[in-house]
Amino acid sequence: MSRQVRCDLCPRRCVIPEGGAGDCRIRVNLEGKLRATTYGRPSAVHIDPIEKKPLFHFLPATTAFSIATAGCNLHCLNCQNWPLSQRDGTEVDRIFHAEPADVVEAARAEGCRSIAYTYSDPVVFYEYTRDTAVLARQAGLRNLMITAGYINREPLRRLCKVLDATNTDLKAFDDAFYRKVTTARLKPVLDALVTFREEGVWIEVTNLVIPTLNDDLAMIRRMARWIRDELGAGTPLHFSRFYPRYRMRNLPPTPAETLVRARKEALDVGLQFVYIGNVMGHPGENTYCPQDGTLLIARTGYRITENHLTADGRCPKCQEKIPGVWQ
Amino acid sequence: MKKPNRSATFDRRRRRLLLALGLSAGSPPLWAAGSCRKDQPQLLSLREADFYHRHDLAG
Repeated sequence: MSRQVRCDLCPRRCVIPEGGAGDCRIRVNLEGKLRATTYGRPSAVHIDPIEKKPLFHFLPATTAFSIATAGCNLHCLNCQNWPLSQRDGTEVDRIFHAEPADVVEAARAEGCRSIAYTYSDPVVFYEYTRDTAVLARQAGLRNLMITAGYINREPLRRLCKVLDATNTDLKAFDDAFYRKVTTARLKPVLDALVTFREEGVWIEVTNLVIPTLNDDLAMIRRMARWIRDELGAGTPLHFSRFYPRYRMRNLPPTPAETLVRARKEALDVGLQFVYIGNVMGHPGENTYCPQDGTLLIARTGYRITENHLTADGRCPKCQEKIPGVWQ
Repeated sequence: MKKPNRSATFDRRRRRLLLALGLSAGSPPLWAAGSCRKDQPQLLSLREADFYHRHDLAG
């Protein structure tokens, strides 16, 4: 009798023979049952400013207790976190034993307002994320999913019940790019973003701009239009600078000018909050009122240097309501 | 054209490299000595984590 199992978590739908692992390396078939080998075994545990995720419109200037396990269901040639994401649970340097309750307790003890499931991709440590998020909610903490969004709709919809915010990496608005650079596909990522919106999760989107591969302004315009139409003009979009990493060391870092042009394109399309990331001190890191251009939040890197928003998240001059979760 | 015999130079370089690495000519290949693969990961409790350690993980 066949003891294969099929993992329906992500669009790969891996059929895993007994004793084998899925494409993500950490979801395995143990005696005919699907198991995530990294449950309760994060390999990265850090406290980060929430601006690092990046989330700019969600509890600014707070800290996020950030965890990740080994494994990922994407294999991006430029992965910055490859020593974590492109390894299985035995190939990493360190593994912490941290059950969901331990994570929540540590986050509260350290004064964090949220728990971020991040760094590799929480999709592959789905059960660990879900169980921790349930306890975090009960403890009054918010849950942040920092992801590439390569997940099937049903499991994502269930997870959304305990999620508060996401930064989803929309790597390009081109399926050929997805196939070539990430080994994934574009459509499921767009579906995931729509699911987040339908479920009321606060969404910010990051697009890492890689020279010559996804810096075409026409494509960026199409992506910005899609975000405007499907997620809303108030959805923050972060254009992030690429640095050569992992298997993509042949390309230079993204010129700041490219990011400036991308930002202008997205603003012209009608997105209201478009940011530039990984360029320290650039004015594109700041939040401006879409109505009158008032500087609302000034940032340098992950640090907030000025915050002029009113307590209920409005522009102090024109009283425009700025979308986000401010407290 | 006959290539110059560089074996003596190669041997001297190899010997210097092995000495620098604290190995001898009879040592197993580097990959077998563990130089090119990870050791077993450390299993730590959360209390041993330095949450504020600077790191370069994105996200």
